[in-house]
Amino acid sequence: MQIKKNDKEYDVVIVGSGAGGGMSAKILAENGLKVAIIEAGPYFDPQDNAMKTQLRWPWESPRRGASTTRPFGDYNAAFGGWELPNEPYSTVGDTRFEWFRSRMLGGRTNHWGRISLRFGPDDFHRKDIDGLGANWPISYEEIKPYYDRLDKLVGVTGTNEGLHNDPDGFFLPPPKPRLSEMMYTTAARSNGVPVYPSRMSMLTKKLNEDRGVCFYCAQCSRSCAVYADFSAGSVLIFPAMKKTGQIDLFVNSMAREVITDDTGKATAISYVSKDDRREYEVKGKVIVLAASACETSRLLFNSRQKGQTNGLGNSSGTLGRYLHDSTGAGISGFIPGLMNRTRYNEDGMGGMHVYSPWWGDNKKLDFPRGYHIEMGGSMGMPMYGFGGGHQTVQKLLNYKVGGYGNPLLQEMKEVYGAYFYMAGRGESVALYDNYCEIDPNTVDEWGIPTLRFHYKWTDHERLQAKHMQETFRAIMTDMGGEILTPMPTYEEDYGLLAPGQIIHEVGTARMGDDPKDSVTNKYGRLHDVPNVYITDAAVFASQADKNPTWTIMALAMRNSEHIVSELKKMNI
Amino acid sequence: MDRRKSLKTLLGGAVGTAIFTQVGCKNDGDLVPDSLVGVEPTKGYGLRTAYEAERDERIRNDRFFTDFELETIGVLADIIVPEAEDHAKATDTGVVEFIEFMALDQPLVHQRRLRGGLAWINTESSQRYDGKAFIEATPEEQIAIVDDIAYPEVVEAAEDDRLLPGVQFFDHLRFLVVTGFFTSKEGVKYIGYEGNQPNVWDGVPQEVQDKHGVSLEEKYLPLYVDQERREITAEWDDEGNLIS
Repeated sequence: MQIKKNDKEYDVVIVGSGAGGGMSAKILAENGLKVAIIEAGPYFDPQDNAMKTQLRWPWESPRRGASTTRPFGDYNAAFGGWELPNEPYSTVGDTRFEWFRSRMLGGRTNHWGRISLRFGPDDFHRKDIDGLGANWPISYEEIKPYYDRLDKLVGVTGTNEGLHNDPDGFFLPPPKPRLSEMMYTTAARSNGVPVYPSRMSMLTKKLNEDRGVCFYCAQCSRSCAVYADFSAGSVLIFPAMKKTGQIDLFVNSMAREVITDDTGKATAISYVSKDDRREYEVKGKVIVLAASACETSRLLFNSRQKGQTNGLGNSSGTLGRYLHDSTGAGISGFIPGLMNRTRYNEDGMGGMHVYSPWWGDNKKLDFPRGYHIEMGGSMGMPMYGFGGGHQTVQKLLNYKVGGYGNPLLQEMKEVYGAYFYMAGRGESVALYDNYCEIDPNTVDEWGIPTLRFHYKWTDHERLQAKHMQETFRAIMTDMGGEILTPMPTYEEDYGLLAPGQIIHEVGTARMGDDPKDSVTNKYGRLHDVPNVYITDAAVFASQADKNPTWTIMALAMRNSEHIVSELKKMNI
Repeated sequence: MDRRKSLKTLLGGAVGTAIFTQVGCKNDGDLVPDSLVGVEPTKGYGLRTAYEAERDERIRNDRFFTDFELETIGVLADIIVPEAEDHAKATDTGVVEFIEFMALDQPLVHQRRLRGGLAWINTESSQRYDGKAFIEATPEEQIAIVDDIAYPEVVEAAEDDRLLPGVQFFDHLRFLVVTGFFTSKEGVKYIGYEGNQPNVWDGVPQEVQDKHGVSLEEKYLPLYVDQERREITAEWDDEGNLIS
């Protein structure tokens, strides 16, 4: 089949338009470079009336918002999920791994929780502290200036608390807590767990002329029509396109391969157009991969340099290795003291108004890494599933279980807004044996070989989850709550979700100073190829007990400015 | 502060007139900036992918339940959510249409359970009441059957296995009817959900804090967002203190 080549050569071709790709596009275009973005999904702008789901009511959806085709429901702004039609992946042995993909402009930044936590000084050299995993080749001090700029550029709520490993920044003012969060604060502190205003990328105050201010509908997961929350399209790509005119978007374009020449330099990205199912090429002086950790390594595995067969940039043999997701476990409860609540609008910002960063000393605990706590419970919008847990509550309250008619409806009205959950999001230890590779037997509908996963939790993660369970149960009880989640056993991994379910998967092409055990250098450039860079979470040497997005963007900013400077110096 | 006035000044600039199509808060005039009212709603329910749009279209052109089955679902739905002073009955809130859609949307979850259950309840009615289908039985006769299958713990305690299929069917249908009702316009109003509209959150109302014995921390009071200054562009000093 003839490949259609575009004669235009871009300075940079970026694969992916999420946190990493969006930030790269902005920095590169603002520095005068001509940029192409290759995005596998459709164009998406939440300000477009026909696209936006914000402020829609449950009855507008024929399935009342059920999660039939989107795992977080009909109005969630993620086109995709853990399963995509005709784009499979597989697992080996007793591996449990679930791979979330959102195919759309802006990627997963359209629906994410917006919890925006800097990594702290310790998070860049955990191996020095506990002997496990690897240190990063960079320190907090090196990345701090980028975090500072990011705070001012994107906006994040919070308070400066002077915490050692949860650094201060340039915060927007946080909103006041909700009722259940005030109760949580008291109960958590009495259990030795600190609570602070949450750090979320929503604009509680005007930041610039391009964006509106939060109007408290709690629907950030639908992506904000006034751009008051962070999504890569709204905040990075659209303003940069408007300001510079330097960015061309190739949407519905599934990247297939990095093309290299005889000298080993990359020259282009080939992609399959989802519109006509034909293959095309876009030429670039520099290639930036930001397709998400696993998709980026899949692209490298499927690319061939002359004289080698195990994937581009993989002379170390570590491509696909050290894949790790955040740990996740949680409980839900029912708080009788919150029955018969006074009604008022407590939607608030999307997600929690307070949070608990890791407080423990792992030297005194039986697991090496920490976690932070997310929580919530409010009088939220009823969606599909509403009322589904009512019989459990009837049992707790010694009501007659079951029923029908007005007495049943009255009961449901009384318990509305009395549920509460807590969830831990922790750091797992990156392991060589947790990895993805190409499944030689399968291609997706675009003809591109798919991934298969090998992943097992260890006792590091299980014992951390046990600690979460015990902590949350104590706090829930002190809130006057009844625990609805049975205590899971060791055999049940203490309730740990499958890796991939927290959607913080990182690693697979980690950065390092030694080309023998890492894929990129400290600027995200492949050790093996002088003009291919990675600006997504594939380069993470270790995840912290933080969400990855803020660090993805700080690194993307730094790596992109390095590209600009290297191009100026004619080094690439 | 006067909430309506401040909303107009605070939200008016940032929120353009063409942005909001769904203004569900028209009745609640106090909280609605004028700029958000009166925009024509768009068709559909937000961007669907090609896969989703094709799927929806297929379901719209398909039909699962017979008229007889739908009528039976309607009678049962109105027993589960009957009309009352403060809310409409289930069949007036789109619940039957919703259940028909769900049967086609999630066939493995709903089809056999609902169809089999409907057949079960008709057989039960026929045996008890001289060949009458459930919808042909009198309201008192219908309630007698429902009372026998609406309380799972009572049936389990009685060790009467014969009624278990009925209990499971009623459980499943009750979930769909209740979730369908509470996600309808009427149900949302009945439960008292007051959100899904532009507003300015300024914390838990004082009387609610008093009722639950909670209060805000003194040290954070100057740090929380000052909603009077939300439209003033953020600026910081070199130490990260907000100064605007």
